[in-house]
Amino acid sequence: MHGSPLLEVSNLRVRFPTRHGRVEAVSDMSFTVAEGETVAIVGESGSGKSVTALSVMGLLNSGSIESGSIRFRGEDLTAAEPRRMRQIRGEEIAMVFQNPMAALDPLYTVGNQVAEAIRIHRDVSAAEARARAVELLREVGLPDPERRARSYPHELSGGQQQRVVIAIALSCNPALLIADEPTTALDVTVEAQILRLMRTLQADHGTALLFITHDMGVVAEMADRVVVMYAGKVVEQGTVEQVLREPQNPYTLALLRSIPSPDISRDTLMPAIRGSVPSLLDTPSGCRFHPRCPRVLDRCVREEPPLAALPGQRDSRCWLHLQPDGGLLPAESTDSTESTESTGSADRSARHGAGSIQSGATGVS
Amino acid sequence: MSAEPTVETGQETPILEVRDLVKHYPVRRGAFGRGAGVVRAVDGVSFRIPRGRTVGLVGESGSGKSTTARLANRLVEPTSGQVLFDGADLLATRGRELKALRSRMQMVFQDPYGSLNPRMTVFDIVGEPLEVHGVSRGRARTARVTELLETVGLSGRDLYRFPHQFSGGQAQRIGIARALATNPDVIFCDESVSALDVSVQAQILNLLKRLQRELGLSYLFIAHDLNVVRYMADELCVMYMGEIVERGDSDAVFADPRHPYTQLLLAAIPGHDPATAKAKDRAVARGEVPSPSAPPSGCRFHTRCPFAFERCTAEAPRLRTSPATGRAAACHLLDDTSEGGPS
Repeated sequence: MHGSPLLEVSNLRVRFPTRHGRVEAVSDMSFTVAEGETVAIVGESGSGKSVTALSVMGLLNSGSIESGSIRFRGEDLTAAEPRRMRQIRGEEIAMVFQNPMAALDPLYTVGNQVAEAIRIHRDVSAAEARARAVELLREVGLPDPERRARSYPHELSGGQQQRVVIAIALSCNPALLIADEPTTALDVTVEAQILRLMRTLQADHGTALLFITHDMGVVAEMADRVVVMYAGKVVEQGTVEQVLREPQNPYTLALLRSIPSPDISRDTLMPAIRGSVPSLLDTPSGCRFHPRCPRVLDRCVREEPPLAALPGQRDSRCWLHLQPDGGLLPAESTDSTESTESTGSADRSARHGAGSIQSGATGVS
Repeated sequence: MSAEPTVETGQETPILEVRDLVKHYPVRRGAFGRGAGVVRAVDGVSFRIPRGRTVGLVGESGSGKSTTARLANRLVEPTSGQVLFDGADLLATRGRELKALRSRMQMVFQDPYGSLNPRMTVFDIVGEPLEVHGVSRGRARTARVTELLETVGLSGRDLYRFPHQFSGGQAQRIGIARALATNPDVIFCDESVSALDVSVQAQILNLLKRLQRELGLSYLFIAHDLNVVRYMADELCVMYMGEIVERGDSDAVFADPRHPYTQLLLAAIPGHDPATAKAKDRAVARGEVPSPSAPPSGCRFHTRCPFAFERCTAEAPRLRTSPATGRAAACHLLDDTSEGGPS
């Protein structure tokens, strides 16, 4: 931990109206980000990780925060006036999105856009803002920043565009930078550059980072602490070493194992997780992971497990932890049946699948 | 299957071979198209896909991977070059003959929903290739579609459902069933698992592996996730700006990349162990891919290469194959000793 929490999200519950009824995208979500710390929220599609980020930014469009609080330096942002939120956004908390082309205005030069961000929050002349913009573009590693400041977004590569977005985000030296899949649209080589840039800037300015990602490689490289989400709920949290090296939750463990690693032989099958990510319109009963879990118990089908505090200041949501035998997961606990392809069982469990139907592939051998 | 998977002999005709494939796209500058130039999307690419094997194609975006795949199955007409499919000259074939050859090569695309017509049922989607190629009709078609669905882990109950009723992984299974409909020999997988959730991706990789084993399929496998390619591909082609810069046995290339670009690309793969991921500064390639309409002189990689010297800016290196290892790389540093290399 790096001191008192800068951001403290408690029991957040976010709902969205849809044609098929109201959907709870985030349920009972709690986490903190300390000053200067990097926290990664990791999850697959529909896990609620991006909705969490947008909630902190006050940018939920149709969705609404049903309950819970988001405290930034003690101030509850869920109760903040729109005017106050506009002040906080950009000045205190800034955000970098996945698609830089969508974040930039195609009609203005990038220098203008950085300068505009500065002038919204700082009382400086246009000339000063422009000069500061060039400085920022230099700091984010844009080659030839004086000339590049006069470029339009489409004249830059994807990596350069993302550097400009980062320059805008950092223009007012925010205490917290939220990055939602900032490198997902980029090539690995450019991803490496952008992640390194973000680490350098963080070290220079002491900015706290809230990283939203599905990529465990990015988590390993960036995060101090990790929050794993599944179907709108936190299933595990702890330090990056705890979560990636000794995952306690069956979902985290299975997810990590299903990532192709350099060690896996081409002649063996991947340890896949059966079924698919559940739709929020039709979340499974009990533990939301139970239809896909290799270690499912009767209880998991009926009752949702609480987020249990485990030794070492970490949490995991699983009934196994609350078994009479104490039940921490052994390091290699997934059973061998998993390593078969087993599409049959995969699709039997797909009745909880994403907007999906029961395929009932019982006849498949 | 027209070709039984056979033991590699080296002498056997590969199921697919492309020779010196070129695709130049004209680009117009200015309002009246004056000052036209060309983008060399694919510039002299050669490789073979042995029967029952997987060739992986890697490189940054814009390197020409997808165009190469589309040239190889003639969805895009090459500017020049040769495509030999099972020994037949694909570019010289016309009409019914071409259609017959095409039925033996299929594609699985990246976006499982985007590549399935939302207004068609699964029966129509998977059955359409059977209709186009006149393979079966009536009850026989229903039986064949059902069989295909079961092959990919779906069932006859899914016949009259629509794509949106399926999850991403299931939709990709439908795309694979459609590709299998005409009993192809080769399937082109262009980022076929990239849009899927990690927990679902492994299922589809396993499905592709099983189908390869059971049906003797050959794959041209394109993915930006290098660990996925490493898992799938027997042989690897590394592309940079429309050219193959390194080619060889996948394990050998991953273990010991020869070309400086391959070295940078592989070094950029993120590690999953927090202890090493932070300590190791992922090798950061200088700059980004230059504009394809104005490729650098000489070796196209010289602007980013840490080992570039004068000759690299003046003269394009040739892709040279080492007779001993069968590996190939295009780099002046490797010219003198086919075994040595920058390290």
